[in-house]
Amino acid sequence: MDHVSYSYRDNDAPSRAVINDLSLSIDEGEFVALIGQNGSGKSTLGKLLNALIIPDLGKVFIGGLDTHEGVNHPVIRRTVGMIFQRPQDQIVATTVSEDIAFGPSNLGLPAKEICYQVNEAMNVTGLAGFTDRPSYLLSAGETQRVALAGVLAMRPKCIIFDETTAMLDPSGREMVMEQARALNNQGITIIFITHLMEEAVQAGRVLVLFRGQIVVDDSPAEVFSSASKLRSFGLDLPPVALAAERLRGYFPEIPNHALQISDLLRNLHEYSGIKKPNISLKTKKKTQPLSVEVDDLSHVYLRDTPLAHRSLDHCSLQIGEGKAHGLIGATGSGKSTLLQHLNGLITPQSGKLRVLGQSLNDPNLNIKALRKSVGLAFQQPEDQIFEQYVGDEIAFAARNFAIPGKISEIVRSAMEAVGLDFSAFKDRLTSTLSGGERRKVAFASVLAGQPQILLLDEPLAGLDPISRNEITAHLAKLKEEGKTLVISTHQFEGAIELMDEVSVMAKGKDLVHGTPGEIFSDTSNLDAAGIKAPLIARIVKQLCDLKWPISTEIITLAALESSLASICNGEGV
Amino acid sequence: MSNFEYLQKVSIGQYFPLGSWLHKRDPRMKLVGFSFLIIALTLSTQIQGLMIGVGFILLLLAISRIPWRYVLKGLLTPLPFLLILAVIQIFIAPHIIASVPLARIVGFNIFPEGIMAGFRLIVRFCDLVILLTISSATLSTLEMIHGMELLLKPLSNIGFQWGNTAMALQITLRFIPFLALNAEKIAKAQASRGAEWGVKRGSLLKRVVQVFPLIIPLFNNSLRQAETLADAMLARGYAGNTKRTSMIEYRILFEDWIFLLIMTFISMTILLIK
Repeated sequence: MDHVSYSYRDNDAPSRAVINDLSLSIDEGEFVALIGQNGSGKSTLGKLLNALIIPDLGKVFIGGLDTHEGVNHPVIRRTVGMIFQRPQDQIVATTVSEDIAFGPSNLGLPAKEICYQVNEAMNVTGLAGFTDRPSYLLSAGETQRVALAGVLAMRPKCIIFDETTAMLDPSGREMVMEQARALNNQGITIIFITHLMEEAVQAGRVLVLFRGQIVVDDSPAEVFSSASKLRSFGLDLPPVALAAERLRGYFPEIPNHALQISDLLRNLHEYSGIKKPNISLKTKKKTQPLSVEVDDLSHVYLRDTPLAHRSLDHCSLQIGEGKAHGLIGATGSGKSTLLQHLNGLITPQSGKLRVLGQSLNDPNLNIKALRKSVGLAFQQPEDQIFEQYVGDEIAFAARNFAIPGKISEIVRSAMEAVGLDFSAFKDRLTSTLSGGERRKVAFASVLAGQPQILLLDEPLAGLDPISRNEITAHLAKLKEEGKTLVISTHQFEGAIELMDEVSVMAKGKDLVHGTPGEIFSDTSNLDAAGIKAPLIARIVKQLCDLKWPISTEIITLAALESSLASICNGEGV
Repeated sequence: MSNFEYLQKVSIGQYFPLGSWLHKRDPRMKLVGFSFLIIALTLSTQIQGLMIGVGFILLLLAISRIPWRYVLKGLLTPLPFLLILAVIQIFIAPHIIASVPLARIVGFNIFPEGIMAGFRLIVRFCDLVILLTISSATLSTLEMIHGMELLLKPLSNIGFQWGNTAMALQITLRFIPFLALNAEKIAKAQASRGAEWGVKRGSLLKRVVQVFPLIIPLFNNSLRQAETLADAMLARGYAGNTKRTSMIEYRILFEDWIFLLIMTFISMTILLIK
C-alpha cells in the first residue's frame, strides 16, 4: 500500500477520512495482527486489500497488481480471501456445501475439482457431515466455520480475518486461531484483525491502527512492552502481560514481556515460608429477596417441525435482588434463550418462571410493565438497532415507557454512560457505526429505559480494551445503585470482578451455581461446559500446587496481589 | 409457545433434508413431475380426479417422510379463508335449471351443485397446499435452480442468459428465511423496549397498524445485509459476466424416468377421469 487514503461518503454527512495517507507492505507467508480501537479503520483496510474498495488517493498492489485496474480484480480476489465481521451476512446459498462451492464455481473450475476442494475445506474446518444443512439454521460458531471454508475452498494465498472471533466462545476462538496458524504454516499469509490482545500476541508482527494510520509496526514483544503507549492508542496490554507486570514484584523470575501464559506459569517459584493451611475466604450466605426465580424451565425452538431444536433443558436458577449474576457457557448452551425468557420475549413452554415477584406463566400478566423493569441488550447489536439515527434509537425505550424527564437529557446521560459523545453521535446514521460503536448504542438504548433488572447478552464482545473498561465500570456503578444485572458471556475475563454469583450452563442445563471463586477454582465443571478457567484462576491454581498458602477462590488480580502482599509481609519472604 | 417464531408458522417453502426416495430424484424430473400434478389439480373439474389426487398426495407424503403433524399445521393457517370461500361457493355456484334446491337460507337457494362446488374447492386447496409443502420440502432451492438451469439451457441459444437470473433467484430464496428471522429480531428488540408486540391480541386493524414500525427497519436491515452480501460475493470472485460452473452434475437414472412416468400418468388421470 502506497500513501493510501480513503473516506466514506455520506450524502448528508461530511465525509470522514477512515484511512489517512497509509503506507504498508506485507510479505508472503507473514502472520500479521491488526489491532486498533473501535472505528479506527481496520475493516476498511481489509477491504482495500481485497479490492472491494478502491483508494481515493495512493495505490494498493496485491502481488504486483494494482487494485485500480478492474481487469486485475478476479486475480486479486482469488489471491486475497476475506472473512467478514458478521459471518452470517456472507452466506450466499441455502445449503452449507453449495455455499462453500460458491467461490470455486466463480473460478469456473470443473465439477470434480469443486467437489474435491469443498470436501477438503469442510474437513479442515470440522464441517464434515454438514453438507446439506440449511445455511440459515447454523449456530454462530458453525456459520463462522462455513465462512472460513468458503474462503479456503478458493485456495487463496492470503486470508484476512476481520474480527471473526468476536462472537465465538473461547474454544471456538482457539479453533479459529489454530486454523489460522496451520494455514500460515502452509505458507498462507494471514492478516488477523482483532480486539483481543491475547490473540494479537500470537502473530509474528503486530500493526496498530490509530485514526487511519499505522502508528506501530513491530513484533508482539516490542508492541506490548509499553503499556502507556498502547493506552494512548485506546488499547491495553494483554491480560497475561498485565498480570506479569503486577506479579513480578513477588516472582522476579517472570521475564519482561511475558506474553504467553506458559511464560508466566513456568516462572512461579515454590513457597519457601512456614507451611500454613490455605486461607479460605469466608463467603457470607444470607437469605435475601429474589429478583428472578427459574424453575425447571425447558424450551424447544421450531417445536413440532423436523428442525426442532432443544435450547433449554430443565433449567433452574435463582438470582438475588441487586446482585450481578453471570451466565457462563459455550455457544449454544441456552444462555440467550434464557435471557429472552426473563423479559417475556419467550413465554415458558414448560416449567415456572417468576421475575420481580410476577409469574411469567400467568397469561394475564402485563408484559409491557414487566419489560419496563427488565431491559435486555441483545447478543448482536445489529439485531437490536432498528432506527435510522442514533438519537432516535436511544430515545425509543424512554418514549415508549414514558420515562419522566426531558427525552434529550435521558438520551444524553445514557450516551455518556457508555462513553459516546452526545453531540457527535446523536445525529449519526446507525448504518455508519463501527461494530464496537453499535454495541455501545445498543447498550445506551437499553439504559435509557431505566430498567430495574438489566439482561446483558455478551456486553463486552467486539469492544476495544478501553471501551471494555468503561462499560465494566458503568456496570459496577449500576450495581451500586441497586440494579440487578444478569450477564451472559463467554468472554468472562473482563466481567468477572462484577459478578456475585455465577451459573455455568451446558446444553440447556444449569450445571452448577456458586460464587465466582467457587466456580472458577473447580476446573472439572468448566471442562464439562466446554469453557476455560480464567487466567487468574489458573495462576492461583499453580501457586497452590507450589504450596503457597492462598485461597483457591481468588479470581481477581487485585485480590491475588493483596493476598501475596499479606503473606510476604507476615513472613518476611 | 413463542409469539415471535415466525418461521414456525409457514410450512410451504421449507426444505427438509430427510433423504427419502423422493428427495433423491433428479431435480429436472421433480420440477416437471410436480408441475404436471399442480396443473392437473388446478384444472381438474371432477371430484373423482381430486379424490385420486388426495390419495396419491398422501402416498407421496408417506414416501417423503415429512411428519404428518407438520403438514396439518400448515393446513390450519389458511383453513378459515378456505371455509369462507367454500361457503360463498355453496351460495353462488351455477346449477342446472332442473336442479332441485336442497334448502333455503336467508333468501338463497342451496343446490346440490353448490355443495359439490364448495367441497371441490376445499379438496383442491388442501391438495395443492400439501403438494406445495411436499415439493418444497423435497426439492431444495439449490436443486430447483440447477434443475431450471438445465431445463432452460437450450434457450441460451436464442440469447436468454439464465446464469444471472439463477443467481438472483438463489439469493432471493436465501433471503426469505432471513427476512423471517430479521422480522423476529426487530420485533423482539422493539418489544423489549416497550413497543406493543406480542403483548395481547388486538383487533385486526390494530394488528395491521402494529406491523408498520417493523417494515422500515426490516428494509433498512435487509438492505444493509444485502450490501455486505454483495461485498462478500465480490470478495469470493463473483462477477456477473464470468462463466460459472457447478459442483453437482446431475444424471438421470432409470428410477427418475419411472417417477416422471407415474407423475404424468396420475396427472392425466386426474384431468381426464369422468
